[in-house]
Amino acid sequence: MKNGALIFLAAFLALGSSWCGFVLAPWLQLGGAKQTTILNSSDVYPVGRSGEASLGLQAYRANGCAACHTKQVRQDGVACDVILIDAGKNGEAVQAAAQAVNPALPGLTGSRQTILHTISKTEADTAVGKISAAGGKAEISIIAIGPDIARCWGLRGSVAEDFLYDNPVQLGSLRAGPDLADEGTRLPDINWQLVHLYAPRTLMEGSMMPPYRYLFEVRKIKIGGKPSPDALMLPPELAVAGCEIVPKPEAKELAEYLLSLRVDTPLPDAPVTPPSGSRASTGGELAGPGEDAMFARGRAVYGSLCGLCHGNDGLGKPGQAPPLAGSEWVNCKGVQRLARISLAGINGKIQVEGKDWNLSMAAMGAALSDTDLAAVLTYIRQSWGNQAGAAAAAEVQVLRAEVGVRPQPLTGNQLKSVTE
Amino acid sequence: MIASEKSGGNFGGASVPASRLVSSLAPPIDASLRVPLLALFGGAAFWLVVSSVLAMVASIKFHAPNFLADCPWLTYGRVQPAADDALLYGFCIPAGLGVVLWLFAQLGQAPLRGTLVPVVAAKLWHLGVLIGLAGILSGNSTGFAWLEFPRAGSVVLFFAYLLLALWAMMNFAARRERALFPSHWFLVAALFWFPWIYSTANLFLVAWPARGVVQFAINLWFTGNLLFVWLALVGIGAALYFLPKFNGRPLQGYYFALFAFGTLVLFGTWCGIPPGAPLPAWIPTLSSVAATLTVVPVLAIGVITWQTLFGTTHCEPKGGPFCFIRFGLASFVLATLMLIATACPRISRVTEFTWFGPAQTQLQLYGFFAMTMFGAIYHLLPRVVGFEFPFPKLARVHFWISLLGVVLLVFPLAIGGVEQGLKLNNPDVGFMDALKATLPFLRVSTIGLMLLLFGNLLFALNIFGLTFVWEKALVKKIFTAITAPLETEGEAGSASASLRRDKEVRT
Repeated sequence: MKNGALIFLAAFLALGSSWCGFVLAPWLQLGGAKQTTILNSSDVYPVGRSGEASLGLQAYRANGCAACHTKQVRQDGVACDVILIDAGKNGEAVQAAAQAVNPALPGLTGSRQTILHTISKTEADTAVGKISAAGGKAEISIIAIGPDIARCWGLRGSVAEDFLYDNPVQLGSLRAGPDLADEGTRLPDINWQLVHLYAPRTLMEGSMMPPYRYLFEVRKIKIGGKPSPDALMLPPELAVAGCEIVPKPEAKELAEYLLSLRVDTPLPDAPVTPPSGSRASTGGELAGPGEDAMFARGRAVYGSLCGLCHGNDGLGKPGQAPPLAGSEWVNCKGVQRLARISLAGINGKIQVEGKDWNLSMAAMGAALSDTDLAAVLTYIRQSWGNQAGAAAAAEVQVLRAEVGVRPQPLTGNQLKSVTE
Repeated sequence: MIASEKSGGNFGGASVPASRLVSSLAPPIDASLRVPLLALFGGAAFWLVVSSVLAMVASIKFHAPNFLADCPWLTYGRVQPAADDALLYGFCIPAGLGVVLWLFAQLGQAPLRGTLVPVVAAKLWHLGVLIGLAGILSGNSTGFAWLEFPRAGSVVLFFAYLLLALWAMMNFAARRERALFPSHWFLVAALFWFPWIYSTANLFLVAWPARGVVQFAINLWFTGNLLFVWLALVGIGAALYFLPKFNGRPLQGYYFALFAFGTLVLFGTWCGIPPGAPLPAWIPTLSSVAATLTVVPVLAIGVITWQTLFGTTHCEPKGGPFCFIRFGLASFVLATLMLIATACPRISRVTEFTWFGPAQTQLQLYGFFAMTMFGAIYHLLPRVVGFEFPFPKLARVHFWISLLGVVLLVFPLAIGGVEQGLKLNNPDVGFMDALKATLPFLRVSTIGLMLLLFGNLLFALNIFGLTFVWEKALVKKIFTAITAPLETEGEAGSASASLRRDKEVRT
């Protein structure tokens, strides 16, 4: 027994030390955590969720969503982009300086332009110095890098602050479905979320997610009665004759919760430059030289909504979103097709610049006003070498009325039948 | 040194002396454990089958998402944690506690006293599991991994465990053989490990939840300590008893065992926080270092096993229980190496969030712990009850089916997980393509689960069959006792009744 007490003491100390290390110490370090100040801003982060979204977290817990979905974006590190804001008076000298730092640069476009992509901070500082010496104005944009970021799953990696108001904190440990940390930015349309919950395979071909039909009720439509404003807009093969599919409160709360998930705020321990003009960026958006206000506004909207997947250079991301630069769907006569894609979303196979894509883009109509949509369409049609005509808010208004409030995502074939 | 009884661990009737086939003649130590162990193992066998059925339902959903989709109780997000918890809390822990009770009594040569309390505690434990599983399936899970049982279930489990551990410790204190065996260190540590981690986790996550990401840290600490340390302490502690016993020679490397124990508790308790977790950087770093050092106890355990098994040539151990425990030890080494690999930041980059994690957990829970417990139960239960298993041949079938099941469950998931991770880390591969690449592996793992379900049914059949045989004999004994005085008064008559009773029991 003389060894017995010693052995017991050793085990007790081992467990006690890890208890102090992994229970007590995190509690002392983070248990009293409060809101942080957003980088380059006086706003605080995070702000609590709305009541409905908080209830949605409980639906997320009760139905075990975390069994297949993580809510943590991983980041490998940060890199810098050098962006030319203004070439100034001496355009040729700035062009020469820009081409000296990046010989592959074709030439200056006259508006905001990325000169160098994913370089280190020191390299970026040197480049900015050279351009400033030539009389141009350039700035450094901090970008997070890593496969999760490249998949449009968030602007930066997840940090402790993101989960301050979650209870329970469910970060998940398996990605049998996509990461949801930034779901609210990626798929901001509640109708998309609800239809996806009801019948995932109609929106994601080959999805392994089980349908959550029990979160919806099938109601008979009374003769002469009005349909419920919440009723789902379903494809014909799923519609039930004489009935409507109405989400139960849990379904709506869950969808609201998913829409509240965002990872796009720059923090002191997770610096990142938000796309210019996005919700989180600082200051008002100023039109650059040679730009009209509509174009500048479009860039701001694009940066906060479209750029995450289509890229701030409009070149798209392989496997995620097709390019907009040079795309035949963008550079056509009118905005009919492009506006419909934005308003209704698109689903399934489509060919872009001779390449096949299998897409699922959520409808962005609910997230954008007519003016914002017109602005962003104008920006897309006139940037990165695209030279199509501008879009007008009135035009968008007409199209929105045609498409309806809660539209069905388009397919490639439907889109082809729309006149340009 | 270890065992008074040198008989091998065959399933066949030969290993149990014929004189012990009559339950009343079993030694008092075994007799004192009979009812508590039947209560613990009977419930464990039941939950094992329940867990396999739930795991099958969850697995089928990957191939047919519409399968049972309209029933909220059977949605994937509830069935999957329910299956995991049924395996861990329903089978692993009560089986482990039963084996601890038996080992303490056996090593200390002291019968268990006050058997009513452990019987009630065992029933209480299984009631807690029932409440917990019903809670998860009805949508009242707490949302924390491996802690999903709602409050009512956890409280019942906690007190049932305390009672069982208390009785085991009382038996330990009253032992007649005063010398401590290596198994003792492991098992005593395990007994107090669980209440500590379980109460901490439930208090700081469920009762008074910590704020924000601290919850995540506590959850990971609990999971690491339960799935790695507790299971390792009980499983290895039991194996250190059975290995030399089946092998017919004393345990080799006493100081190696001491070393293995010390390093296991010292490093193991810090394991389990993945390098990429959104926590202050020192926490995952410390955890990674500790996980890497866990290779030390694994090596030590490997050396002990090797020396005990292969140190001499004269002995050729045979028998089903031995196969189970040998397979369990091999799985332990492999599962720990997988755990160490995932703690390395570079490997974790690929394997985190993929099926590699579940593969490691299943190997730890099933390949190592459950298999070791099967071996122990097949060995000890016939001795305790005093009857042979009704279908001893099925135990051997159970071994081979489980072996195949574990291999088909774990390896495809691990390989599929690596493939999934490589594809997820390459943003040029679409997310759906990365997911679809795992489907063939998931299909094979479903076959593995099916085999495990079949094997577990065989196990349950033997356990319930044995219980039934014992109950039948008990009823007969009582019946004879009641009817006996009417027939005879003298000594001769009593003797003949006893003879007849023996005969009946034997047939």
